[in-house]
Amino acid sequence: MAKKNNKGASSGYVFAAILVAIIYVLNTILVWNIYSNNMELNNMTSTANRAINQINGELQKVSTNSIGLAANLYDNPLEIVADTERIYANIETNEKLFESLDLPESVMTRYNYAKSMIATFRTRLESLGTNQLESGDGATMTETLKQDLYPLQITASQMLTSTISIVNAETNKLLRRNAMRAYILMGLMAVIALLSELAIWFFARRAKKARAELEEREMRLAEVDAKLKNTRQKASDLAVTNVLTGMKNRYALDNDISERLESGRFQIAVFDMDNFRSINDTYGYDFGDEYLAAVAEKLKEEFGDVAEIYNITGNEFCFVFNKNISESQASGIAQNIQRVMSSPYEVLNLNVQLPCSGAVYHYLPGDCLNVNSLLVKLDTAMRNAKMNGGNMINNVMNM
Amino acid sequence: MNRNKKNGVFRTVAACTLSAAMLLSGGCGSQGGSGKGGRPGGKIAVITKQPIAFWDDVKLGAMDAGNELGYQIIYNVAEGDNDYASQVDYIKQAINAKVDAIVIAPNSQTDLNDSLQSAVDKGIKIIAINSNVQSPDQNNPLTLSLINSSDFDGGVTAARNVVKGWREKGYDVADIQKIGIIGSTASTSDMRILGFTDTLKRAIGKTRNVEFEELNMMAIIMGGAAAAMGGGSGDWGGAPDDSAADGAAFGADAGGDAAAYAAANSADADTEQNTEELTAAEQELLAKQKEKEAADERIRQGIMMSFVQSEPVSKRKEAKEQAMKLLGSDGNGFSVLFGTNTNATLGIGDAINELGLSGKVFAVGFNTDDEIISYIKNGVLYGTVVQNPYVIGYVGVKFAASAVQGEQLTNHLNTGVSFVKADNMNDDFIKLILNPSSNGSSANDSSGSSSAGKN
Repeated sequence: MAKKNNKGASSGYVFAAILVAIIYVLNTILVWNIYSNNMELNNMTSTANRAINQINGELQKVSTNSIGLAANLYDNPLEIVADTERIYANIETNEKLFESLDLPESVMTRYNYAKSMIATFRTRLESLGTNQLESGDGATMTETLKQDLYPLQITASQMLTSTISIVNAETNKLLRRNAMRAYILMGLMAVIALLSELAIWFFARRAKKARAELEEREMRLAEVDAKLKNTRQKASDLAVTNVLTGMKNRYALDNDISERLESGRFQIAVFDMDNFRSINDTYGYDFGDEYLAAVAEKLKEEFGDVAEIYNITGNEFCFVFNKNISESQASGIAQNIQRVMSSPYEVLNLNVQLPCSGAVYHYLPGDCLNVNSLLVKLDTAMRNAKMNGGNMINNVMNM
Repeated sequence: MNRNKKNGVFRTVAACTLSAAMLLSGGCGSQGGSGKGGRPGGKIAVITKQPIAFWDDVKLGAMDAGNELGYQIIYNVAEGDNDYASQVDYIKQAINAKVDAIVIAPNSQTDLNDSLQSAVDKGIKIIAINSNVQSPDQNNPLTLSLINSSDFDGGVTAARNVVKGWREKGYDVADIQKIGIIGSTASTSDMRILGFTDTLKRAIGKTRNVEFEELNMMAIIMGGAAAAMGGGSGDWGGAPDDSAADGAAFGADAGGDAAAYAAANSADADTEQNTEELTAAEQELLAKQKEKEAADERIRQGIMMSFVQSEPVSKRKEAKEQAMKLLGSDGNGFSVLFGTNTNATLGIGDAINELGLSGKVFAVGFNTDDEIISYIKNGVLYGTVVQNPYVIGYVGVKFAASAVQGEQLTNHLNTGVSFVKADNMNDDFIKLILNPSSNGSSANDSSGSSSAGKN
């Protein structure tokens, strides 16, 4: 369940990240669109301005040249007349350039007015021809130019400069619109950023809550685990403990010394009450159990410091002496064990005393392949003692 | 716990950085929001003379300029071309409306000065159209610029086209007999007549190998202004009025002797006197020359005598009567007739049409309306001189906007005149003059009819 929650929180983060990435890409595309649109507008405006300024300048040049011709200011008037064609060609080129631009209707209205004036100017100037010039009637030509063509040129010029103003005004209108789009986009991005932050905060809060739940569950699980471990330990302990005497049993002995058999050197002994069965038969099993418990308690008390004591069968005790116990010490302790076990015990207000026999084995590395063969050797030695009348200790002979 | 806190700070910083990056990248496209040419959003008052179609076209031009240049136009028109009182009120209204500039066609040369001075004192820029005021201080004029077309040039254009048309019909200019002039009572008439007669007399004189003295334009302007002031209703720049009562008359037999023409004639008189004195002084040595000069003078006198001017008229009917009086029943030897305004031109057309003299009398006029255009199409009239009221209105507002932006202006802009005749009536530019709204103007829908030069 916790895993599921965790997965939900992380997918929320992934979703938020993808969303932000998409928005960012979209934002970049829109910003680029606005930017390129502005660039295009600026280019168009400067082209339009350039074209109109060229037309205006050329028209003024024709007017000035015409007045100069009429006033006989030029050494080679026919050259000036010929140049007029080039000027008109330049005007036409710039007119075509201007008309090729995708400009608003308001611009074209004013431009068309100016263009009409320029065409009229040209027609009227051409209608004068060079007759007056060639006939030397400069005064009439000057008068015509001054009264008819010059006003036309300057009013056309006014219309052309107005055209530029309108182009610039329209451009600025579009630029302002683009700026407004940019501001709206910025506002939108700010809102999205805010919402993203809220989403992140929301997911973080959910994740934090999920993590707290997970930690609580982990804590509970640890408690359960500890309990389980304890129970298992108890179960395990029961498996290697004799319930009656509380001593380790035969399995425990097996576990404890198996690994020492191959390379270990230690002293080990087994003791068994002689004819213990007579107690059970006489006083019953409960009494026998009480007697064994009393013996075992005494053995733990007396020899718990020098040996690990195992209750390997009903009344058979095995002593694995500590490493620091030498062979001779072991033999001495074995006699003490025999004495303690053989001493009288008060069980259920009755004094009971049984002799015991035992076997001591000074184990050398590799003597036995397993614990079972070890115990067979000890039991054999102890049985021999019993067969010989009991109440004695045999040594296992090393072979 | 510490670690959690650290992660939270990291996430916050990361989110803020991302947001800032997004905002910054969004802001990249916001450059160039404003600049030169942007709509200033100011107000310009336009005040014109009288509610006739000529001023409708001026209004159309003004509105178009306002729309295109980003100014709100407050348009007002006076009741008549002597109604300066309304114009005073309109100026006051404009000041109260906190306009940036006033474009005005003044109905008086002096009566608007106080109001205009108040406007100037408030930083309002003044542009005159069609005619100007007489500023008390010439070194510090009330108006920054005048936009109009020259009446003198209009007369010259009429005469020049008479000569050209006459030749195109295969006639010799020397054969031009009597020239009738139907003048109007409007003050614009004097300068139109002066330009017409001066140009035509020279053209005829040239065919007879005589020359005329050059006009002293400064004396003419001053004389014309004096005459206009004496008339009390207009000025030399040409106040449009078909019904104006006063004005200078042309010719020896006309009442109220126009100072403009007097100035011109005085030059001729001086020449005559000088010639006579010179002839007398050198009579013996230059007998032949004297004889020639006398002959030339007789020719000049003859040419001058061929110009006959009617009584000034204000109405179409009067113009027709005057034209019929000149023409008699068979044209009475008149080769050319010239009308100086709309009604005079219409009267001439009516008379020729009624007398059946179409094609026999070469008639030109001034201004247009639908009937004049019709007469031209039918060959009753050869053609007519037109101004460009649309351009006057447009440039007036354009100059006002430039003045508001602090730009330097020329003190006078001549918008020129054109001659409309049957064979150029469909030229693009002429069509634009006759019907400005055909260019796609959207500011006004009241100018569907041709009206150019109806003042």
